[in-house]
Amino acid sequence: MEQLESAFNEVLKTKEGKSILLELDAESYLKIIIKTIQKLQKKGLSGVYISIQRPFKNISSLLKKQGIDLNKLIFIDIASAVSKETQENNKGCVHISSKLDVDDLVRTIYTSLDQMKGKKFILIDSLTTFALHKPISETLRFSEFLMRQVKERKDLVLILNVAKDFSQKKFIQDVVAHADKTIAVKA
Amino acid sequence: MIDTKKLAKEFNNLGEGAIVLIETAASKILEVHLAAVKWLSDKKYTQIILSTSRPCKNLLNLYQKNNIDTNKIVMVCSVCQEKEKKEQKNSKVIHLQSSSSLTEIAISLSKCMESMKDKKFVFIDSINTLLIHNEPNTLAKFIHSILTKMRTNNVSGLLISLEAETDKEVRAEIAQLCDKIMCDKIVKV
Amino acid sequence: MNFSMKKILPKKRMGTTLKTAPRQKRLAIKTKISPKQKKQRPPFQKRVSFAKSSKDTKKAQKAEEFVKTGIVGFDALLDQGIPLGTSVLVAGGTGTGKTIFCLQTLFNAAKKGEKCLYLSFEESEQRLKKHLDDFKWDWRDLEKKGLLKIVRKEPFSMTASIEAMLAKAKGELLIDINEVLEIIPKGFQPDLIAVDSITAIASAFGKKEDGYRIFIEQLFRYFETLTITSFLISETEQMPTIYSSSGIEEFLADGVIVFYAIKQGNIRENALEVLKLRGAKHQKKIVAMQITDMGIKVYPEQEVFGKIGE
Repeated sequence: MEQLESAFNEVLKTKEGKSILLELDAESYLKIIIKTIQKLQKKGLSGVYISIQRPFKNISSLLKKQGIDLNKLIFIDIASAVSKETQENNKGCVHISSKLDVDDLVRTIYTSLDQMKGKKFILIDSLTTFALHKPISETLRFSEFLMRQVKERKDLVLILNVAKDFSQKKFIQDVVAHADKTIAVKA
Repeated sequence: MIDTKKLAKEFNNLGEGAIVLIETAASKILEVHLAAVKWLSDKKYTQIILSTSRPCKNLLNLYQKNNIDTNKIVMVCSVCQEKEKKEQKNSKVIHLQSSSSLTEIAISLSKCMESMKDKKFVFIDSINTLLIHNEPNTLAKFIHSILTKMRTNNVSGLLISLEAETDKEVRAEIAQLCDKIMCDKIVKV
Repeated sequence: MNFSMKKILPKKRMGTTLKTAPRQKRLAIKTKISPKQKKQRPPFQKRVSFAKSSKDTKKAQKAEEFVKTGIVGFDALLDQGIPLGTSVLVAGGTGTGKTIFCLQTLFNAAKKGEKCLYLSFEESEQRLKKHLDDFKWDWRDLEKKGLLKIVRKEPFSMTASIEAMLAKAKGELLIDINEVLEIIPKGFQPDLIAVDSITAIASAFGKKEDGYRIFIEQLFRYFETLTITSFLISETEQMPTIYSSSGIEEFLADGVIVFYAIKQGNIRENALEVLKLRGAKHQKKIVAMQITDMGIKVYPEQEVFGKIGE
């Protein structure tokens, strides 16, 4: 946890865009995500939450209970889309086609970011679940593209979550190679 | 003996719509199953039990022997692979073709969730048996899909898997989808 | 089509236009149309009434420009339905539900008063009627009323006639198919037709691929001319990448619906997709499907977990 704190402090001090890869174990997964968003919001950042793990209805109520300001978050509900569930009609939630077209997703992310002022973050929860629905090559293309874009911007922080012990070790190494910081968080 | 008080406390802390993965030893799995079903039954939950390890008749007998009220239990059974005879159609048991027919399982679970109005609980027993019949990646996709449906419909859930028997990579993919992982600490020493 | 709108619409009254014509009692539109024109008249125009306002007429027309299959979950994949007069290739492997889909669609349409013809080149009429009985679809009344006809034809005798005709025509492409083959029974003007299957016809042609190609092209044109909504069954592999025997049928057809039987361990799970449908919006995804005691049920919101394409 301390490692996470110091990593965020370091990243938020710099004027450049940075990408952080969080390797989380299953036990502490949700707790770390909540802590991450709390930390970023304390520093005044608004963000785009790409929710692949959980539908909007579920994650938004969990975050709200933990005191997170949902007005400073825009959700992209991919979980409902890929599971063919009816997507929540909420101004804080952006719809995405169940085809999960990566180019479409990137456009949606950028459109959402344009709606926010000041320093922003993109949180992808999680790359592991994204890789369930898309080939590894596309998942890698998506994450690498975002990491490259973030480097060119000064106002953006990218946080990618992956499950510790994820089977696709080579993929993880490829992401690690492109990320500015990798933190393996344990419970 | 399973410490049901600990189990109850863990569930109460999580609230409605929570999904829990219980990891237990192979020798304790039935005990955990029965304890969990009894607790849920006492709490008046309507239980949708996906049985992939034991035949439904066997389980229903065990429930009766353990004084578990089966009135609010619907079983989705992929073990018997019986074709339902029209005369004996039991609305409490839905027979499936196989533990490999994940789409059919998903359709049956969805239908059960939609048709029941009371507070519901989905119980999947077990992840390891499903892994015998399905590719890990396909199973993880299935679990993600089912859990998303459950969360959207505010349905709580319980998944059982064998501790130390599940490949850690598969475990990582499935465990991260759950709200909580309970280990042997629920078992009284 | 060789008819004039003037012959169908009533004469204009003095000082009025059709759009502002006062409300009248419903009039049966009696016009003198030649027998040939009668055959070719699009079915939905018969139902236009000039007693209604033009808005109601347009709405009624628009609704009737599409065919609904009536199959639970399937129509949800389409925005409005299957455009009237389109030819749809129904492709898939053995036992994937193609025959049941066509029977169910025709049965549902016949119940709504549409005239339907099921043309079989494989199964006998008795066998197909038994399928209808198995699903508890009461076809007898519809047959009596002349709304549902099941006819079996021998593909080999048909191909022999076609070859003779082609030889006589000496390479000319225009042939009056129905006159030679009597595909549609005399005196019966179907709104919907199912052909089961074009694969059987292709097999009957054997190595004479040119003959088959000419025939199939003419068949598509023939149905188009008569504005018959047609469902042509095509037998393929279980996980097809080509949806017809010669490969041209899927290009000629306005729509392609593909049925899958996805292998999962020791069982197969059914799925289908609307691969293409000209003139209509549709969802482009493979969806779960089940063949139940009551017929086909499609689950447009259910993800399919099998490995598609392997």
